[in-house]
Amino acid sequence: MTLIDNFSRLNTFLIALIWVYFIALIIYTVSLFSRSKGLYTFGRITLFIGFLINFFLIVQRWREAGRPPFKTFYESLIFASFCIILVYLVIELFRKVKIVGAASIFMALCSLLYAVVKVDVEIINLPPALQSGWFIPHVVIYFVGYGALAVSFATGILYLFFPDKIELKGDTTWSNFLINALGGEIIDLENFTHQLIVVGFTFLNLGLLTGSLWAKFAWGDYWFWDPKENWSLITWLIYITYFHLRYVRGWRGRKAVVFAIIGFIAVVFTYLGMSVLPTASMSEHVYTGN
Amino acid sequence: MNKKSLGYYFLTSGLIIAYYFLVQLFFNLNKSFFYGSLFVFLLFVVFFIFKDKKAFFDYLSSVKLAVALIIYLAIGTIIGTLILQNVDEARYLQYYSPDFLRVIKLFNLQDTYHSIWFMFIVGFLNLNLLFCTLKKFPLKKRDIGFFLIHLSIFVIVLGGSISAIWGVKGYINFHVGETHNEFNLTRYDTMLDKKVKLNFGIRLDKFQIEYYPPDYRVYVYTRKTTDRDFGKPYSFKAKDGEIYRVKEADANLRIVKFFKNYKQQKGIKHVKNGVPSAFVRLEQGNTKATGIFFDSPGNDRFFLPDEEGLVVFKWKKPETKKEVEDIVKERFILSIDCEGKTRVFPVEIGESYDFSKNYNVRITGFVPSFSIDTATGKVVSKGSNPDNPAIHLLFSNKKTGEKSDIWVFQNFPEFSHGKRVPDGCSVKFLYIPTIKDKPVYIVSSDGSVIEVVNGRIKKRFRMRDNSLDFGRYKIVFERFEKSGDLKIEEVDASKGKNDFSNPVVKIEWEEKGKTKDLTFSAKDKQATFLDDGRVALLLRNKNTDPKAYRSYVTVIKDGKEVKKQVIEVNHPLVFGGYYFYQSNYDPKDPNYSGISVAKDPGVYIVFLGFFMLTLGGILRFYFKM
Repeated sequence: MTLIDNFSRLNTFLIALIWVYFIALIIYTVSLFSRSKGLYTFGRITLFIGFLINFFLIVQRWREAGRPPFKTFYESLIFASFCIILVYLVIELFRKVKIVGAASIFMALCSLLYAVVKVDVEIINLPPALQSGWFIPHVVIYFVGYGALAVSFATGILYLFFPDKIELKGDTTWSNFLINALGGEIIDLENFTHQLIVVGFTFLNLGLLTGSLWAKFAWGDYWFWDPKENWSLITWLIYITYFHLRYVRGWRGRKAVVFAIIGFIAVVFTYLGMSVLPTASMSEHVYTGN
Repeated sequence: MNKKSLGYYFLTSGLIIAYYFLVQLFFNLNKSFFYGSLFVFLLFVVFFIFKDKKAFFDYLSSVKLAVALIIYLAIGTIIGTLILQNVDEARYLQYYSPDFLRVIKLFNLQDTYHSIWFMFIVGFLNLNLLFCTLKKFPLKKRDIGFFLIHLSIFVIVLGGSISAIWGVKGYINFHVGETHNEFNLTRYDTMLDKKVKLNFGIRLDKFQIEYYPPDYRVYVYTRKTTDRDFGKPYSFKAKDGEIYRVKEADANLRIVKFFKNYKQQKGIKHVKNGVPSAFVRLEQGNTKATGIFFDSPGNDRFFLPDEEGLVVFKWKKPETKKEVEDIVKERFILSIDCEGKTRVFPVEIGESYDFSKNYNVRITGFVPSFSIDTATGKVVSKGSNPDNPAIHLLFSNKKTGEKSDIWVFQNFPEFSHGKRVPDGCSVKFLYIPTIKDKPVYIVSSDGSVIEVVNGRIKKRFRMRDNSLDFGRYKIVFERFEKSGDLKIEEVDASKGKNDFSNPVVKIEWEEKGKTKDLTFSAKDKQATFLDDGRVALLLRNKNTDPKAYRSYVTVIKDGKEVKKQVIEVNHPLVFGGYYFYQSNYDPKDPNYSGISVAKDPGVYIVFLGFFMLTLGGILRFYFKM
């Protein structure tokens, strides 16, 4: 017999995951100030364990619901945190940008905590329109893209604080801190952000392609001017602006990156904000939890 | 090459777009102004070309212009998500004042994405794109990605335009059995009064709605005080043994048992000082019924179907002829209660008896099934089946001879037609029926049977396998209990996985250390209230949404069936250049299916465009050739 409390009727593993990510966040933050390799390795292991739990949560939910777990906010927020960490773990293979790691874990945690607040935990059946072979690729592609853009948001903000292509000599405390936090002596955060946005943007394009194909076969049109579609277009236009601004003299750099940051805010709004739009009732894309 | 700042481009292109807001206004107000304004615009364009051709083309091919236009396009798109698009008048007036609505309509903001100004921004941006791309010529190998991306936008816009011009959207209201060879045109989900003929017909053979398996849940509604409305409910799965916390009431809710098809079944149990009893099963083909005999007056007999006979249960086998006769005799038993004293005795029709201190009683009539003939107002019997036995009593005062009468009902002992029983007494009546010219079977707990017809013993025999077999049906004596009592058993009589004929849940509500048992049904209209009205519970099915809708259709061309297909959401029928989509159903009409129709000649060009965009992006960013 199990005692289930409605308002914390959340999966035990979700609570565990939040703790594991939280511990990882603390270790990453501490390791920004410490050069201890052991501590950092411990942080990476913790994060990886969290990542596995996150993956397990998705699989468990999938099995429980008997369908891909991307229907409710609760489900998608868990998947979003998974994608953010996935992107960061790939980055970490190439460069030990601990500070980006801390920021990514922080965002993943925000996503999970929002899932706790939302508590639309109940399993909802898929309406006929979502029972499609396009459902999984469409959602997965967008979320991996969102993950990359989330990390780019972190590096973009970081870039606003640190100058272009910093060469760190390790002669001051500050520069020593940066070498440790950014995982090396030379870093071009602008380029770093740009590359992440390129990855994210490629996924946005793929998402657009799969979405248009799906819509055509489900509803008869590739584009419906649905609020969510429109906001994905707005997001896309903002990133396009960013790419073009990089070619405008005097705008490449901080000013362009501001657009990249706005772009991610638009992503978050596209993802979470649809229900506040007056046109939300006309949308096929609003997350439903009841 | 280009000295002008980004701000300059924002300002100039912003002014041009603003001019097109004006054009839109003219379009809606006055057509000649509209053409005039377009002409003026053209004049300006010509003027600038002649004034400084190079500056003009530099302007158009500027990446800064692209940035400005993209941002304006984004702003235009945002506007369209803030204002309701293409809904009916009433819906608009629900949100906007009539004046504001008029302003919206003047600038076509109710259909932002098809407004002149919006399309102008798209066109302007495409022109800009064209010149930017042309500037790159002759292309180098490393420009392939760049070229593909920019070309893709043209391709998408081209495909979209083709669809907009030659595309058709429509709708067919289907009923099973109908064949349609035309459809209604639609615009923004409203039917237009215009039909399009098809050179083939589609027949709807069958329509099917599949539902998700039922998921019964206890819905919990809570409120802080009873003068408030209940908040949004949450639900608990009605799964045996689960304990849920209802935080608002500081209570635990335990699902004791969930019945898919709740039935109450009577049985017997052993008790001290009980009555001899027998539990039987009547089997007739596949149908089974159960019943209980008690060896007490009135509860010991059972009429066989079609009144073919009577079965009487006696714990002890009657030994003498007299005992047998007493058992099979029709009897009327009166129970008279005067001043706390109860007398029970058998009576006979026509006879008189002492009733109370001042009265005698005469039994003046009996009907096995009481009824009043509406024509004559006289008491009659509906038949010989004793389903509502009543006896007529005539009281007469021992001294004065004053008379009064009453009908006494076995099944409704309190009911008296407003007449009073004399001397403040009460009277009950029990009818012990018998049957004439048909066999009476006296069954005893030792398995012996005595068959009696019209009071005479015909046959003595023993039951085989404790059952009386009458060919068409049989009565099985499952259990004899010397000292028994009635037991009501709750059972789930669900036949199979999807039989949810009478869902009922039994719960245990534990609040402040006290527990309360509750039972409620999914058929209850009223909620079950708890915690002084602060909590309300309902049992309902959560899965009432369809899983799939399917239209089984046949395409008929030139009188021949050429194609059979099942149209489902996500699985349209493609025929003759048209797509047919499952798009509606009617919960009240199982034979109705709404099919939308689309002809979209540009769609594959659009897909090509999206593909080029994706590929171009990959080439541009990952392969720096």
